[in-house]
Amino acid sequence: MAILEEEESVTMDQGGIELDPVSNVPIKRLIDAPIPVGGVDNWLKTGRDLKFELNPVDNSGIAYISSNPNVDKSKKCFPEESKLYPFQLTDSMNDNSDEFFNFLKNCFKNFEELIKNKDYHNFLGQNKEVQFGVIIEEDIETKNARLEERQLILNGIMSRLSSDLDNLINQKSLKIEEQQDSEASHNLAQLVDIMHITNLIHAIYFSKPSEKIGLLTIWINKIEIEPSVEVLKEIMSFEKPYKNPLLWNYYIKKLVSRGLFQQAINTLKESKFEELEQNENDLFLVIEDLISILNSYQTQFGTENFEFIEWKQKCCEFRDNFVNVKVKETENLVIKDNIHELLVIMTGLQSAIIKNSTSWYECFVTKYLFELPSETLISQYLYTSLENFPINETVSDTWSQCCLDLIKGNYLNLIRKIENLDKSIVAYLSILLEAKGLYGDYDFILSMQEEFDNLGLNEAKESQTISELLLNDHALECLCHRDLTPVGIGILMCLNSAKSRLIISQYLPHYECKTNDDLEWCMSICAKLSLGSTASSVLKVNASKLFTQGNLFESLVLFAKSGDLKVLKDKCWLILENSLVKNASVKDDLINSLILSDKKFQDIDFPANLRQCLAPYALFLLFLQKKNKKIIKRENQDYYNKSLVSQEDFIKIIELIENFEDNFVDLIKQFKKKNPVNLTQKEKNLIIQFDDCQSLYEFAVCDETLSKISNSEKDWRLILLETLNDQHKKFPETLEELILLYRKCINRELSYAFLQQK
Amino acid sequence: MVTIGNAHDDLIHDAVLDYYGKRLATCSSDKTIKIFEVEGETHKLVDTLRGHDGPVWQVSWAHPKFGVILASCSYDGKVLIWKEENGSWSSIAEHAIHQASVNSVSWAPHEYGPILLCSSSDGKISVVEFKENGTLTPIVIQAHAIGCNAASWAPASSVSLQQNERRFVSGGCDNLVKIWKYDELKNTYIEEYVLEAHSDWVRDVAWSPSLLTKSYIASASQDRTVYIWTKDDKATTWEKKLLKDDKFPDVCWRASWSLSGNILAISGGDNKVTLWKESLQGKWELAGEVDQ
Repeated sequence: MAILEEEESVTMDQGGIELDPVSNVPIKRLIDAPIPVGGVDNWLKTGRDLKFELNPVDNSGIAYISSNPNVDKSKKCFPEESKLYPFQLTDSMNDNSDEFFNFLKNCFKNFEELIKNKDYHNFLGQNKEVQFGVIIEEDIETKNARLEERQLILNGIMSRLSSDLDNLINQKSLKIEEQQDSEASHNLAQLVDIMHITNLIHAIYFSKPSEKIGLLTIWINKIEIEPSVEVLKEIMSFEKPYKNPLLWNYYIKKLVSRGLFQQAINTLKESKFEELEQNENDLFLVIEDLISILNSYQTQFGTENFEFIEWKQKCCEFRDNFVNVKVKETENLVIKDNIHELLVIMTGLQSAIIKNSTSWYECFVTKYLFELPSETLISQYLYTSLENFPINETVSDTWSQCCLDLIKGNYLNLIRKIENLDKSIVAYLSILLEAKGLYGDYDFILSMQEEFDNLGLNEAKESQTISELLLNDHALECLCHRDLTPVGIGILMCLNSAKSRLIISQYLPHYECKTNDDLEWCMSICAKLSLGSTASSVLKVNASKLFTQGNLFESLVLFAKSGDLKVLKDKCWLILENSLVKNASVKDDLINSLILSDKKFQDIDFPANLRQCLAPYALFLLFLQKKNKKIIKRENQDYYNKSLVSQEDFIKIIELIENFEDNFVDLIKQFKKKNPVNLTQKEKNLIIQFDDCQSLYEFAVCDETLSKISNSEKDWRLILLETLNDQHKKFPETLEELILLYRKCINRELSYAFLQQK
Repeated sequence: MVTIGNAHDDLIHDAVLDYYGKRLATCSSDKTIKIFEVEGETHKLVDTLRGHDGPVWQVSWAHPKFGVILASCSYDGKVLIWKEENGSWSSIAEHAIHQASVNSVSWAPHEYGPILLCSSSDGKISVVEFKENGTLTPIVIQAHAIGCNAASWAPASSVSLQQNERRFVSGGCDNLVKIWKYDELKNTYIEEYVLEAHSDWVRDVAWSPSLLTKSYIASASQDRTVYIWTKDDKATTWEKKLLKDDKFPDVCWRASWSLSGNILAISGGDNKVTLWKESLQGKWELAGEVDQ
């Protein structure tokens, strides 16, 4: 948290976010802050402090102006100084849009099986198969088949990731076109960079040989649209497009060298070259042959190299025979020469490819397409391309640097750079690289173990791979966004480490259960991970919330399920206490209707411990129903036989309840006369002080007050005294003792009756 | 985000978000406490709680398993407990045993139950347990001569819960840091350790929340130093270490640990917040510095 001068020098990151020049942390400025421009120094001398509170659940917070304890308390506070300034921390998740969140949800679904129990670690490695004894050929075949199957699984995951990313970019592009959002444009640019890197990873490591040409073509043509549409328009603006030299010396060559064979063929067909048939038959036939040979290039080349070699032989023959082609009109020489150059490129002549290329990646792809499409030659092609098109690593695009790292095998550099672009997608890409076994010896971060040792965290002491570290970070980030919470929890559950279990157990009680489904979801996670105390905590937190909202029955059921009998008893007693004091049932129709329903109370399906704890209230509710003495007398034969208490006790309780209110009010009046305490104000504020109650009780049972009670009155003290005469001979000294006595008596009576009924 | 104007009529002293980050409680010199509902970027004022007769210094939310409960402490020497029920707020208890300003309130780790720790300028510390029936059972201890500035609970560990061990640390105007331990038989907190190092008032103490084999306490003082006190589970004494060998440029007001307990933030009178981290060799190193 910083107080900065308006004109203080700050730097900007690529997304236009202000950065502190010293710490490099992002700066968020408070709108309408009270410090005048240039007045920070003076303002600080006033003893004011800038304080803040971070939200425990997400990336928001509140800042406010306060003062340190030594400041002059009488100093005037200006209205600007008593404002609250909500702020949002810079999210490490680049994008909070629905589209991005849906993409991340899809990513998790896509990778879930691979992440489960860290299956991705050494997915294609050797230590998955432990062999003993003599290894026979059949074993090797089985093993190879299994590895091939696993490679196909990885290819499928990569393919879906690539396609999801593509969809996301399309959705966001459309949205940006509609809304003109500059921040979203920046996010989009980063996503596009990641797409270029992902496409190359897909092509090189996660595709069958037959798919590589197609994927490399997609990669290069997504990087930039070449040749441009404008060039095509210019060519087609000619009445006879084949007469436009641009078509031959640039356009067709570009299309072919970038693998866009079909586009090249279509352009040639639209160029009206058929006109040449009459005057320049040789040239006409050459173009026909060119179309034919372009048509015969298979993007599946690579599975079996001999197919490609066959094609290349045809191409070489075509090139060699080209010297015999006669051109009558000099203006058509440009066509002949450029077709020849194109054929030289197509036969894989390095110098021609380099001459025709404008970038390292174009040179690289053209070489792959026409020299020999073999993955073993990829690095060789790359080095030749870079030699001729050197790139400046400090100024080139991030995607370009990443692609170089990828081809050179600098995977840690690659991951670090992708992480700067997006902290979520990098986790998934890292999993794929690790699953492929590309991290080699770098897959364990041993320093973590040292750190755990140092901190004495034995239970959390476990090795972490790079992917796990990134995945953990991503999971924690997801937990900051309610929509992504299931993803975050899902990842942590899949990782199934002591650390992830600890995080889940700490997080779940904070998760706000808005619906019953939310609660069920939390419970299912606790059950899966055997987090008993967390489940209890979640239940109690939600039970308390429901209790506060007045949903008593649902609340009690949750307390009962939490297994905390003490809290359950306290809450049930609180309900009974409130009912007794108010001489009315509690305002919860569900709880009352369940008790008073035709079904017997004990038959209703709710937890046994709740049924037992709620028994006193249930009984009281029945009393309330029957408190009309006439009904009780009329029903005595029928009712008391079933009742849990004797007729005599029953009537005593009815008397006590009915007279309690009048006696209490009367007592308050007497008390007020004697003690000038403003009880009305207290009543208004609903502050009932125990000390006051204690005084009230002492006053109620003192000799002076007792002497004023007529023996004929049905006063609670007289009823109590009758009971006490059999036991302690005197009133309890304190109100607490009285309450305990009452509770013990009622509990004893109810427990006895309950056991008898059983 | 939209600024909340005229939140209070005077300086705000504390702003605390609840367990879910959905409710914000603020308190001020205007003697009131305000409750805001937080929904995304909007903050809606739902209630203004009046009951104190002086500036309200601090507010603290109880763990939600006890209900929606808030404690506040004030210059008037009182601690009020507020509860929300069916959407309306009311004061349910008043703890008024202190003879001077109550400077801090903090709820104990929820595993111990609804227990509140209050430190006061009268030199006393009170630990108040709130029972379900609304009664309070305060334990009052004379902690520091002249006044007590801060107190902080030790985190609840499985061992401490099993053995019913509760501890807290306090710092006061007698330049001392004291560790207090609950004595079940005597039903009070007894002085377990007195830690001497500072030469001026101890302004803040903070017990690290992490459950390591070692306990960490940071004490910040008017004498411009910060000490880190550590004790192994099996050790019988607390070891002290200066956070930095030379003095800070100004008074050290506050010490607070990160949630994970491995980063310590110190704020001082020079309007700077410095962040510290213990190296693998056990040395405290500057992890960052922010101008305030």
